[in-house]
Amino acid sequence: MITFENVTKIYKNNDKHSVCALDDVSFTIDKGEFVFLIGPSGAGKTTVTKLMLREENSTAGRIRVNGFDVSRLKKHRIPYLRRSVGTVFQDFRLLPNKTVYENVAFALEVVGAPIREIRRNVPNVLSMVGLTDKAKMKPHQLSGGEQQRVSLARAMVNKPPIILADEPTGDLDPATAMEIMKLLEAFNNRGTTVVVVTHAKDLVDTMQKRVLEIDGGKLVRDEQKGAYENESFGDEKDPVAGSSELVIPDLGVSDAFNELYSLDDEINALDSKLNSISKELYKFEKDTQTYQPPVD
Amino acid sequence: MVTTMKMRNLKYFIGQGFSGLASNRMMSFASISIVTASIAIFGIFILFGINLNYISEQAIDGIEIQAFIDRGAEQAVIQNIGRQIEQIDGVREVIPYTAAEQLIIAQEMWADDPVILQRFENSNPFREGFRIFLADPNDASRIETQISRIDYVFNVNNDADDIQALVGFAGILRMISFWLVLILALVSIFIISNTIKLGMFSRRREINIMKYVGATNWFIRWPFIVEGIIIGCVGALIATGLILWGYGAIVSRIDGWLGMIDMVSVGDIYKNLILWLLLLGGGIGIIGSTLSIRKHLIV
Ligand SMILES: Nc1ncnc2c1ncn2[C@@H]1O[C@H](COP(=O)(O)OP(=O)(O)O)[C@@H](O)[C@H]1O
Ligand SMILES: [Mg+2]
Repeated sequence: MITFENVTKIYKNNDKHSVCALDDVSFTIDKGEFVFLIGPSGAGKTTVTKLMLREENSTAGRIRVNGFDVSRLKKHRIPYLRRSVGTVFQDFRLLPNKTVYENVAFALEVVGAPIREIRRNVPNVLSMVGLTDKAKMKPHQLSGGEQQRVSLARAMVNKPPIILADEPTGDLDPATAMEIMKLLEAFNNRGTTVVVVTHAKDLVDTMQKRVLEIDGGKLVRDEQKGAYENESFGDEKDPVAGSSELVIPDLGVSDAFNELYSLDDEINALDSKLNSISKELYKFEKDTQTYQPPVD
Repeated sequence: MVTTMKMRNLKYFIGQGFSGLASNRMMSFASISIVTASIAIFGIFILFGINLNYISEQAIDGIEIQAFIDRGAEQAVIQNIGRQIEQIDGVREVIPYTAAEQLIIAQEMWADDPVILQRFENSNPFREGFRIFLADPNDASRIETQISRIDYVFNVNNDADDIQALVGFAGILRMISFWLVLILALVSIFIISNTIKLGMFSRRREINIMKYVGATNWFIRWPFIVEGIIIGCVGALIATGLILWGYGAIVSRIDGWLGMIDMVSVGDIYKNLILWLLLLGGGIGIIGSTLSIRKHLIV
């Protein structure tokens, strides 16, 4: 699903200062995984996300995302790569003059999605993130956590196979941050591959997911069910104890979420069936029209 | 299916184009004004040029040489001269222009002036002559010389020089218009591209999000191009309206003053003028916005 093979990224500012942000980094993330990308500030985490989205191109090495050969991707194909990766940022990036609904719909409108799809997907995804009631509100009327849920809904509305979140909880309090994590986990349970860049130790320790740690542009740890700090360094703090203080809120959306998603799949299946039936019908009509009975 | 999608996109681009204009009223107003002024100035020159061409074409068509004959020449000599002129290569038609005929014209012309009329009473000061029409106005001076060499021809008049001057002036005007349109178009393009640049700046959040959710470059760019086209076309329309209104007023005045200048009528030119000035405005808009996009909207 996502592979980095010996990827190096050097930023060339002016001729003198060039920064080696990533140095020979290799890893593979499979379909359906949930991965934390951690490391100190300036380690190169955001660079990884930028390379995945081809905001920047790698200096060396090979990157594959969703079957796209990212480093060699032609410019006009970049939008299609980005459509297959939902992105969430620390600062939400909502449009202040649009309602919640419009903000989410925007992501479909600008890729030319059919209106039918917009009318169906936007309410669905809003209900998945528990914001059906606030669809008509403007971002400034929402709390930080709610705004980030809108941003998550926008990232997920076209059902991308991957979601990429760069410090999505950086501006949120721990409880709200946990809400967002639980939502990401819910999407992950439905098969979406999730990559979260974070500083939040408690979250990482609680979630018990795979951890990729970068430091100084090098991949220094890749651990299944990892904690924020490497255990081999002798961590005096019990990660589970640390996280026990966290209130994990039940949004009450989890069941509804799964139900909606499966309903959605059913609708899609029916839709494509209908499509093929009407195609058949069309072909049949054409055949019967052009059919000439044999003349004796 | 595909066409309905395109229609929806088109509606979206046009809507975005207009809302872009509305979101930056001052700048939009300024750039529409500049485009209007530029196109109006250019349109005035075009109208000047069209009329000059029209007048000089008419003048060329009516180009005429007049030959006058020595006093006292006998009727047979005069007829012989007429035949000789007819033989000259390039002469289309020769009409006698008698002294009596010239007298009548003069009397009509000075009908209000008793002093002059009195001078015509006792004697006819005019000479017998011919009016000569040409197949090709370029032959005027050659034919003039050939006629002047015929015996008993007193003098030959030729208005071709004046017309040549008129044609020359039309050429100069054309050149001025060309440079003027170039300079004014560049100014308009510059101001439009700045307007679009500001528009892109005020929409940088939207553009940023569009990039992340995978909108194509053209989808992001079109609204700005549409905005440029709207500025150009609105400017062109206002300018054309102003010019046609002003021109109509001038034509009716001049027709009232002097019947002798025949100007091109508004009805004959308005369709072409609107079409060409709209194309010019639209073109300026497209170039202005495209320049801005290429420079600042790196996707
Ligand atoms: N556009 C850029 N130009 C030059 N240097 C950059 C650029 N972006 C990031 N860097 C540098 O690359 C390194 C890694 O940055 P980044 O990937 O943003 O780290 P992180 O997200 O882990 O904090 C830092 O030293 C940073 O200064
Ligand atoms: Mg970062």
